[in-house]
Amino acid sequence: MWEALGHISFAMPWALAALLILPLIWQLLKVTPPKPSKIRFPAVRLLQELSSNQILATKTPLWVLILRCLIALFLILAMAQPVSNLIEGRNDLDSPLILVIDNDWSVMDRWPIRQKELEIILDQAEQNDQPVHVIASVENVTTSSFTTLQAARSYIATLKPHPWAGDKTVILKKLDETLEALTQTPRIIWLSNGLKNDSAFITGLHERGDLEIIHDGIEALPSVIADVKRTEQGFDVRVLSANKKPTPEINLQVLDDQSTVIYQQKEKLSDAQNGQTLKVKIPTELKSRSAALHIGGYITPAARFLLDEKWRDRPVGIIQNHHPNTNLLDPAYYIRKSLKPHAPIQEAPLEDLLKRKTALLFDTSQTAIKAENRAALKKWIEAGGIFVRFASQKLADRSVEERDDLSPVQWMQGLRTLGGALSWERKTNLNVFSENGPFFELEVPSDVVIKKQILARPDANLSEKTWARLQDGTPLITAEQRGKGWQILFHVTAAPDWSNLPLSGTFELMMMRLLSLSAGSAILDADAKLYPYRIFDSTGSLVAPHGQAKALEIGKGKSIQPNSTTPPGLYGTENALRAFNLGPFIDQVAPLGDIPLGASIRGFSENQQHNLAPWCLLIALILALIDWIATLTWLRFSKVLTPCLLVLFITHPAFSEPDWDKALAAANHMRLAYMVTGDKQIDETVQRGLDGLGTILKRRTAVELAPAMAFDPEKDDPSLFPMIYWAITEDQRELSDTAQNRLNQFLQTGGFLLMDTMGQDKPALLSKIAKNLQIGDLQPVSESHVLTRSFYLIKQFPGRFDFNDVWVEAAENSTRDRVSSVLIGKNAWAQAWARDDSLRPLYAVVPGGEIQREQAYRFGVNLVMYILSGNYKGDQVHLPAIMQRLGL
Amino acid sequence: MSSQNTIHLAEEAASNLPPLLVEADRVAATVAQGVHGRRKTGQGDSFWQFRPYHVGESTRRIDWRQSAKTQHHFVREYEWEIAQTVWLWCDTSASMHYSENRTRPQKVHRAQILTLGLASLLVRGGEQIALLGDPNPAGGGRAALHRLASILDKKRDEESYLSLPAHEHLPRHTELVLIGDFLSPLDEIEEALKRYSRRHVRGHILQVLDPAEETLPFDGRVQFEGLENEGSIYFGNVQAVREDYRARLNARRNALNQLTHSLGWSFHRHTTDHPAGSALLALFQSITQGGMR
Repeated sequence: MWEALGHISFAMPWALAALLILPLIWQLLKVTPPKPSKIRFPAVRLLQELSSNQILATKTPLWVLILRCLIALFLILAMAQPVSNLIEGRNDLDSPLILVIDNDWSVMDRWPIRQKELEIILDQAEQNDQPVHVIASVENVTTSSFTTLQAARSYIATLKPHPWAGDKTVILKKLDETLEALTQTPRIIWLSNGLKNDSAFITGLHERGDLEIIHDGIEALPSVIADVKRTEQGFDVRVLSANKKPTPEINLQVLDDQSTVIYQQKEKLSDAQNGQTLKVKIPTELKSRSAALHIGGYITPAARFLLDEKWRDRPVGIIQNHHPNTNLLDPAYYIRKSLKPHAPIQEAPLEDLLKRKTALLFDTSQTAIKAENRAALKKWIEAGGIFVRFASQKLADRSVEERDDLSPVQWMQGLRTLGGALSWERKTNLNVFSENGPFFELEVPSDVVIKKQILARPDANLSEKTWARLQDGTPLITAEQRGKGWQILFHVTAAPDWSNLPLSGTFELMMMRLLSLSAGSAILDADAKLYPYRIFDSTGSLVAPHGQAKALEIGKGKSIQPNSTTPPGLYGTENALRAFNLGPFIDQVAPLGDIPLGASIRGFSENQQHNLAPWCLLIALILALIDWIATLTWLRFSKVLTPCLLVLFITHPAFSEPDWDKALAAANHMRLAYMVTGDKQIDETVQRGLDGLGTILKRRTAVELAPAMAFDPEKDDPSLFPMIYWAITEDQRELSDTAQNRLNQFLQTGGFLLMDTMGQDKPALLSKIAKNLQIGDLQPVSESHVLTRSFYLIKQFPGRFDFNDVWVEAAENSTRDRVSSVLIGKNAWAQAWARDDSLRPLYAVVPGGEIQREQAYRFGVNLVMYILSGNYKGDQVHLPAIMQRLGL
Repeated sequence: MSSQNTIHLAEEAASNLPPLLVEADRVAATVAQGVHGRRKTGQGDSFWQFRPYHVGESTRRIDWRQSAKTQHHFVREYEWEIAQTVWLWCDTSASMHYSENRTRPQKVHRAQILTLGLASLLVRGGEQIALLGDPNPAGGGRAALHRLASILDKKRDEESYLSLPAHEHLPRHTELVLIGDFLSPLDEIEEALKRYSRRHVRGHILQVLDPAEETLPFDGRVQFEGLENEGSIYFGNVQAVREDYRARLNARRNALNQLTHSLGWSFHRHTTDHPAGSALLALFQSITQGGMR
């Protein structure tokens, strides 16, 4: 960040003298603390009664001092107007300014930096009040001479790089026209593309004014694909690049027609100034999909070479001797089947096929070729045609003396039968694809079986001609180059009678390889007019053509240069596209040559100057806001922060560690416990309630309870308490898994849980708890339940409220000697039991008065007895009274 | 706020409670009749019991319908019913017009709600209510409640520094409910209470405070100003005196508690962040059950 800011200088350094008063501010702040806030407060009398030693002023906090001094510091800095990357104004000239801008193909990658530079130059021109004239190297329109700055700005804003080269002589001509109107020697700034030019151009510029050249050095020059040739393995790519040091590594990419990279290869350029040929090896499948080659990282069209072979037709001809036969035994059927998806196929007699344009010719049945056809065929092969023949019975029967010069090899009469009835040779497999041929790298199929073949007559260079052989080394496919073309012989038929090769997938792959071997028929007519289909725009992407683009007249060949009417791109129709690439028109990529004496040269200004004063003001404002907020509430921050810190640092370890003091205290005396609800008032009430009940128990029974304790289900061990009173409130959290397990264990081993909804009707939390705890089926407390007679004889179980529905575990299901482990109700017993310090009840009971409170206490006594003695009182103690009540 | 609205709020607070039944045990028979059964026969509207007709009684007292069912003559007796007058007083002085947090009601608002809620309960229970310092005689029914509400409404807008009830001549053995913040000097409060106590008036005091007055939640340098011209006081760091203040407030409250106990009165506290119902319940309890006496 600081590097980005670069050098900071001050426009008004004298303002920094104000920094001297900072210590003064410090002292002032220290002596006069901020004004106290005024608060109206009713209980001010109580405050007045407090001792007066707190009244003295506390010191201004240190951080307030620092904060305010910082505010002052930033204000002073803002006054000094700091500026990063200050560019000193070149206010030496008031002569007219002429801007010459290269906006050809080579600056497409570097255009934004040029636009920035242009803005800086125009800013300076504005300061110096210079007239400005702009000439672009590739543009038909220029600004009308010496327009206003505003017009120049808008012109420059619309200026775009174009994907073709400019004509420098035109610039000089335009410059001369401009100079005619001038009396002064102009200052000429040339934003060069950094490529080598005619020395005449530079000297021409220099003669016409004070020349300043701005360019971005050799490193920024683009690499160019000058030419691409198709080879059997892939492509030969000729790359042009400037002599950069260290030698650059380029990333050659193969794109498909969606501009997706389907293959890429890294290459080091050693000496590419005059062109270096790189070999790209690419699998055939990808090769057939490739639509363009590209040097990664550049957007200029010179770094992209469009391939149009993909669209070039490679028509296939099959020589037809008799009526078309769709029978599976027809050899042509298999060729047709395997090539149909990849090329147009014509079936006709040889004479007709020779008249048409074909790239491959297949002869499956040893047509007798007439002499005049033979000559034409040879000529066709020499021009690049591929003639493929398949063996047949007819061929095998032919006399050996008759030499066939349309075949790569001569053959012996008769057939070689493998694995036949009278042969001891077994059927054999295809063994190897020779590396001379295009089939090399094809996977050798293991299931191809050859039963019959014709044998090649041994020859000195037979092995060179062989593309595929059998396991015993006998040639199966032989080929010979003739001129630009090939003649190829398959020593088996194209039908599956001699071998099952035509049935295998390999056959189709072989046919496709043969297809890609052919260069394609040059079917494009010599003087066709090709209309633009997709052309490059200023961002280097292929777009639909604009109005200026005109048809390409191919007949004139290379004489057409890419320019505004014929920009590089794809021409023709969608089915037959012709690529018009920029690369072939670029001779070399060389850096700017010698500069004439007197012309100044420089690079682009990397950074623009930034005024930092607003930032300083902003920081000061933010600090002032912080100061304002903090002085209002700074102690509240600490109030908020302290619990957060506590949660972070203190409670976490305590969470896992049980509180041993508490456990010891709980274990040493019998105590009732209450679940911590988080609501202070409820907790206090329940504690007071349990203590109130404890007092009653002490007074009336033999049970002596120590004061009740809080029980935190997340931390404490429940097994130390005979009963846990759980007041269920609305805003309680659900229990964690460990707490649930603890409570379940507690209930299973004889603990007792009193769940009191405190008057609420079916709170949502209760059902959730009930789901997670292992509680048996519930039933209302029946009239004969032990609870009604464990100490007092009672019928109702009122608390603060008197609702009837009090639920316990059904006795039938209970495994613990028919003693329930829970009691659920909503009578808010604890509130009825609760007393304050002067033993006055805290809550009124509803609706019944003190008798109801007494009943509540009696229920409490019965409950504790029930918990402590189980169903002991379920037997005969009260039998006489019960008998009496029953009227017996 | 209109008086109608205040009544509505007050009744809402009181709606969860059963009709207030005041035990008028020590009250002389001079008071007007109400709907509260004295659990003995007397004058009243509700049926108490049938008893056999004794010779010498007026025959007009015979319940002929009941007598026709049997061989004997029966007299219908009614439950003896009396009503009690409860005098209410609500502090509306300047110190009550305070709320530290805007979301909470002012103390005076809460105090009036409680006064009216209590009045509403009492009226529903058939008691007579009267406002201390109001020249109108005690009355019952909705009309008395509405009059009370309109007077309270008027009083709230008056600027007053009177934070203790002025001395009034009350009948003996009446119930008096005082609702306010009781932040005046303790000796003044004591004097005011003792004046009533000498007349055997039984009182209930409810201290209504804002939570800020309980906890003193301020920080830093603060100049505190009183609302009733008590002057002001400045603290350099309020946090340091917070604990002292709380202790002071508790001491004051304990002193008040002691004072009321010694007079045989009841003392309750309430902060405005708690629902009004709880305070009303406490008052209700002490009025119906006579506190801890």
